Amino acid sequence: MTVTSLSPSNSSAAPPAVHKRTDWLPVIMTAPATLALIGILYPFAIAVYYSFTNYRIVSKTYKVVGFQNYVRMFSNADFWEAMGNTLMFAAAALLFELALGFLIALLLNRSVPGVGLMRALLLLPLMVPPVISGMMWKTMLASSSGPVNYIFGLGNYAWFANPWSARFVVIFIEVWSSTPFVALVLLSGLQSLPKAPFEAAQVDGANAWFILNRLMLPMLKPFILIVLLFRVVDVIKLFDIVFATTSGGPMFTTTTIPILVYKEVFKSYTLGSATAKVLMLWVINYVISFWLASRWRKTAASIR
Amino acid sequence: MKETKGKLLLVYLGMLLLGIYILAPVTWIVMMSFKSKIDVISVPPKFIFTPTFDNYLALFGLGKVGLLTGTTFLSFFKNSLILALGSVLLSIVLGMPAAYAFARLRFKAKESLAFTFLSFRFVPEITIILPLYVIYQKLNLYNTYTGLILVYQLISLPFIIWMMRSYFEEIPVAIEQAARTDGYSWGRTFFRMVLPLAAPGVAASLVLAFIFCWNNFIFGLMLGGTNTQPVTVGLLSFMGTNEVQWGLMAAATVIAVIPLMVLALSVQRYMVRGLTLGAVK
Repeated sequence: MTVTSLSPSNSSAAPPAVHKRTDWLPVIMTAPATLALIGILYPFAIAVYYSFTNYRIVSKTYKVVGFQNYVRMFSNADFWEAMGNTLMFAAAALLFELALGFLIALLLNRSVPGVGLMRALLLLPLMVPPVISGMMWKTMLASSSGPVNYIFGLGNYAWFANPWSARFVVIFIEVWSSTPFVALVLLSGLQSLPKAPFEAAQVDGANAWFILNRLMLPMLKPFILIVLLFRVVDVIKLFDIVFATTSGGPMFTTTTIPILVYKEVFKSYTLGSATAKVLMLWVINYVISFWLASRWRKTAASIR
Repeated sequence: MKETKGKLLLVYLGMLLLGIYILAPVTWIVMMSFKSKIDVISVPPKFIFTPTFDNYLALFGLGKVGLLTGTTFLSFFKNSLILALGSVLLSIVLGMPAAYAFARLRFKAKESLAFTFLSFRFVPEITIILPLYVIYQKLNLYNTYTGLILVYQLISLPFIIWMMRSYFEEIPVAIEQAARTDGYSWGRTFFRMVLPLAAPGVAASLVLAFIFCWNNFIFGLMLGGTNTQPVTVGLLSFMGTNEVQWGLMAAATVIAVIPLMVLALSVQRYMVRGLTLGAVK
C-alpha cells in the first residue's frame, strides 16, 4: 500500500503513448465528462449571481442588490453563531477522529486472531448513511426509553435539551460515523511503513515516544494529510447528522451553516441571501482543501 | 514483534471495547425492529422481549403499525435503487472514456482537467443545490429521477473517473501495444484486453459508487418529492408524523442498511482506495 501522487508529476512519467496519430481522441473521450463538468459549473456560476440579488423563491421578479446580502450576513448574529458551530464541530470532530482513529490503527496493526474481523467491523459505521447514524443514536439516547441513560443510570437526562450536551452528541455521532475512515487509512499507512528503521530503533533502545514522534508520525504524514483533506471537507458541510438529531436546536446552538441555509430557504424563501452564506462555506472549504491538497502533493512527492 | 501475555490481554480488551462501541447502536436498532409497539417505548428499555415481525410485515404492506403503511416505504426503497443504479450507469458512460484517456493518453491540460473533476468531491453539495432548485423548477426537472440522477453525478462521476483511472494505469502498457501490433482495433483492445484485466477494480468502483449514491440524503431532501425521494429521506417520515414510529423506523433502517453491509464486505479489499479516490492504494 502506497500513497500515490495525484499531482502533475505523474505526467512526466506518463506511459509511452499507445494511440499515436489521434489528436482528436482525448477530446472525444473526455467530452462527455467535460459536458457534465460544465453542467455542474453552470449552477455554480448562477449561485454566485444569485448571491448579489434579492431572489426569493416565491416571487417571480428579483433585482441585483450588490453586496447587500453579504453586508447583512456579516452583521447577522445567527450567521456568526452557525459559523462558530460549524468550525467548532469541525475542529472537535477532527481532533477526536484523528486521535481515536490513530489508536484504533495502532491496535489493529498486528497479526493476532480476530484482527481481520475487527477490520471488517470498521466498515459498518462507514456504510451506514450519516442521517441513519443520527437516527440510531437518537434512539439510543432517548431520555426515558433509551438504553444509554438506563445502563449508565442517568435517569431521564434529556441529551438534546441542553445546548452543550446537544453539541456533544452531534460531535459524538460524527466521530462514531467517521473514525473508521481515519482508522482504515492510517492502518494502511502503518502497514506500508518499512520495518528496518523501527527494528533499528528498538535495537538502539529508543523509547516509545521517540519511535512515535520521530519515526512513525513523520512517515505517516502523507496519510494524515489525506485523512485531514477528506474529513475536513466533509465535516465542514455537516448537515445530515444535525438534521436527523437536533435539527439545529435547542435554539440555534447546534445549527451549522448548511442547516441555517436550509431553514432560510424553506422558511423565509430568501434564496439570494442564502446563496451568499453557502458561498462563504465554499470559500472556506476551497481554501482548506487546496492548502491540504498541495501540502500532501509535496509530502507524497518528497517521500517517493 | 512478539507480544507479551499482558500486552495481548490489553489488545483484546481494546478490541472488545471497539466492538461494543461500533455494534451497540446497530444491535439496538435490530432489537427495536423486532419489538412490538408497546415494547419499543417501554420504560425502562427492554432488553429481553417477545420478538414480533409486525414491523417488517407492515413495511412490506402486509399489515399496519400506526399511520404509515409499507407501500410508502417500499416506493422509497425503489427510488433509492433507481437513483443509485441510474447514477452509476450514467457515470460509467460519461466517466469511463475520460478515465481511460487520463490513464493512457497524453494531451494538453490533462492534469488540470482531471484535478477539476477531483475538486468536485470537495464542493459542499448545498452550493449547487440552491441554484439547481430554481433551474430544475424552470426545466421541470424538480422531483424527477432524471434531475436527481444528474445531480448525483457530483458524487459518482469524480469517483468513477479517479478510481477507474488508477486501475487502468496499473495495466501494463505493453499488453495493449502487443494487441495493437497484432492488429486489434482500438475498441477491441480496450474491451477484450484492458477491461477484463481491470475488471475486479472496476467492479469494486461501481459497487462503492452505488453505496455512496445510496447513502446520499441532501439531494433527495431538497430536489425531490415523495415520488422520487430515496430511502434515506423516506426514513425521516417515520419521525415526522405526530406519533414517532420507532419500530417501523428501525425495521426500515435494517432493510436499508443490511444489503449495503453485504456489498461493502464484498469490496473490503478496495475500500481504503475507494474512500480516498485512489490516493491511498
